[in-house]
Amino acid sequence: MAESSNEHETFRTKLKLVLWSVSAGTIVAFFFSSNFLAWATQFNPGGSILFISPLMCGIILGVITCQMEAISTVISSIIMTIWTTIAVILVLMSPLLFGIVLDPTGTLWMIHAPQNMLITILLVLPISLLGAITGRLFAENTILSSAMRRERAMLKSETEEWYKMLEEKLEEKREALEKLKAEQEMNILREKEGKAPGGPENG
Amino acid sequence: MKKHLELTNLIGVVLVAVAIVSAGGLYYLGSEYCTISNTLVSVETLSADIIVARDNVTDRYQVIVTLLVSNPSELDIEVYSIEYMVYADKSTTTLTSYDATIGGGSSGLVDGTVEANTVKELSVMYLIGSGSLYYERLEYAMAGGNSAWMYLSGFALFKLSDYEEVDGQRLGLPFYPREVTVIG
Repeated sequence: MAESSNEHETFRTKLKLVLWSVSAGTIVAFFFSSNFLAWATQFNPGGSILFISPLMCGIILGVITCQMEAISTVISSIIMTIWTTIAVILVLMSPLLFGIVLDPTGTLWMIHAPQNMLITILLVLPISLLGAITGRLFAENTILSSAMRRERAMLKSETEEWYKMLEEKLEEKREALEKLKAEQEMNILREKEGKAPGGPENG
Repeated sequence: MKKHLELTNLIGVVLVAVAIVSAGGLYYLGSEYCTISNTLVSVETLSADIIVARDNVTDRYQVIVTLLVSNPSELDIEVYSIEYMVYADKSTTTLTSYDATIGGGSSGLVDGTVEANTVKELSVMYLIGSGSLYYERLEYAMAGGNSAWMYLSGFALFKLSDYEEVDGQRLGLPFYPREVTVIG
């Protein structure tokens, strides 16, 4: 029963991670696409948004994944980058996908599509990763409640105690082993002395 | 612990809400891009023609270049210039040589707007005065008659009325060498 509940919780955590990453990716993809297709809309966020949007979304991802394992933060950044790239490709290739332009070299605007896709991949992953790590560090140091921090400190001291006890036990065992070894060596020596052919018994 | 979880969940929900709005924005961008692309590939010149009229009073020729532009898309376009070259000769053999030129250049259009889902005729006109090189070439091409072989080359430039940055798009002038009768 408890195992099933645990599995359920793990599944929920993974689902949340994917949902949040995809959401962040959608937001970044919107800003990137708006920038690439600024000529087609009234909304032009400017070039700086290419740096700001993945950084901000990365920070948010870092904050909301601070409760999970550290690897989750990295995975969320990777999922975000993959989804952003897919969404940008879908938007930039929409005339092709909907069968409006059969020849991609026929229109001037398609020429920039591969460059824009490359920019998306190259910018989103490192910047979002940087943001996610920053966000996680920030969350761990400030947002986490004092009770939570106390709990973590307690866990840390408990673990240290356990390690200390383990060390002591290992030391005791090591000493006992050394003692045993020394006794065994003494016995062997004694036996050798008693059985030796030119020993005191034959003389 | 619970309080903290609630906070992250709240941020997550806000993130998802913003993402839904962004997804709407992405859909809008994609559809706008499709509409523009559709306009760029569907606008075409159905036909191009040359009309030559002689004014006997002033002894001049009036050359009118007309285009029939079709815009089956959802966006208005504005044809703002026609870049053309008109040739005239006795036969088609040397018709496209530079020596057969009887006019050309770039002519701006006063009202070149072709509304969505319409076909519009656009024209530019120029005069050939007596004594000019073009006048002599045209007279030579007609060889005393009232018709000459003519050819038109060039393109028209258009832009999208609602998208200022989509400019300098080209439209071909579909014209094959033909015998044109001079009016008048």
